[in-house]
Amino acid sequence: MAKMQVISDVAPGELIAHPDDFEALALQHAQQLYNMALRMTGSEEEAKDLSQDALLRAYRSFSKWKRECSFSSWLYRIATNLFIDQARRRKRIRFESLDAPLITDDGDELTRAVESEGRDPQSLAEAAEVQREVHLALQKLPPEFRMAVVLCDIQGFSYAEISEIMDCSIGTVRSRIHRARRALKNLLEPYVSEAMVDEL
Amino acid sequence: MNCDVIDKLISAYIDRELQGDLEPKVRYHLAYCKRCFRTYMELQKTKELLSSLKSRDLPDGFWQETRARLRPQAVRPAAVTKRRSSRLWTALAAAACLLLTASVVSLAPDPPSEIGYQASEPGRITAALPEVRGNVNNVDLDGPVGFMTVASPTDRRRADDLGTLISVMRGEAAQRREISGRLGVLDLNGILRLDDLNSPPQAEDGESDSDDGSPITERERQDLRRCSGPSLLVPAGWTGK
Repeated sequence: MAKMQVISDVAPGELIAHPDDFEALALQHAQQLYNMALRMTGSEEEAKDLSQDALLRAYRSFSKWKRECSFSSWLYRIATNLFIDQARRRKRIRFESLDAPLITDDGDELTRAVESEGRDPQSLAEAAEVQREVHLALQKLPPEFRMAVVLCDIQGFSYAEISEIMDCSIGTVRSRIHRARRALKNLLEPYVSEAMVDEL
Repeated sequence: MNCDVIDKLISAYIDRELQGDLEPKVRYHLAYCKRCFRTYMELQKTKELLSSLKSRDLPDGFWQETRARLRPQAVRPAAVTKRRSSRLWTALAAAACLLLTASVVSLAPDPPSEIGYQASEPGRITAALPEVRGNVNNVDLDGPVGFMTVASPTDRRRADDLGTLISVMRGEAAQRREISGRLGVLDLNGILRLDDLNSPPQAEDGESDSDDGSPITERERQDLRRCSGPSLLVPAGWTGK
């Protein structure tokens, strides 16, 4: 009886993933993944493509997920690699023109949220402007810095998790986040200074 | 520590990511250094601005589109789904009868936690699902029916979900164009399901069992050869439950 080892990269007896398991996990993380992609790419269409590509790639290699890291870390790592690859292929960092169409949060949602806090139209507009400027400032960072600060400040990952996702040392994560924040501080200077006047 | 060193640590201090005695050292420095304290406040505010970005809902139809890309075979006409579902119930009913009989006449051991499916032709293993490809333990290429076993310790709860598994395999096969001919799926209760990938499902179910307790007997192989449509085979060694 001829027997042969077919695949040697995964130990016999390792857990087999079921498509339904994947879908259940993916559903939990899809919105967060999309938001991360949105902040990274700066465009709804690109964010949708990036998150779908990441989910597709994750699905195809679901059996390789070793459970040594969380599903979200693994999924974000795939998305990160995809994004960095795309950014490198373009060989440039994407800058958005200030007069180009802007990505803003949904107007209705913003209105409802702020109205419930009793804010006037002027503060509404200011809040929308801040959101827009922060979003635009993010797009001006190099991809690796942007990714690190998005994962930390928007997605809430720890440095250890980010180092796993970005496949780099914690020292590199610390440096990228710090340099990203310093660059953003300069880009958002009016808003940061305004707050400083209030607080100091 | 001087200001240059502290400056590089401020973001990690804000994020509570400093280890050991670094955190109290930074805190002490910030208490008396006005310049570094200002930097700390500015970076803290920058972090708050980023954190204030509102979460966006997924675009309409995002998940439907994604699911269609992941499992294109899952989107099928209702009539076909109904027919397959009916076929599945027929198959499961037949399996239940066989298992009941087997449990009376045989003291066979518990089934191994395995699923597997056959190759399309001898000596050629043609395709594997991404989910199982990395888990294939061994392949038996002896005889006209190639067979591989796949460890599946966690799929026990899905032992009766042959329809889904076959559906997934069909989709994979269609996508990859690497597989043709019959497909056999052995579920965790030892039920081997054959499915012709290139023809519509048929209503007839065939069945057989063997008496030597080995995973795949020669008789079972002969039964496999005779199968022309979806069939159920229950090897005696795998019918303990």
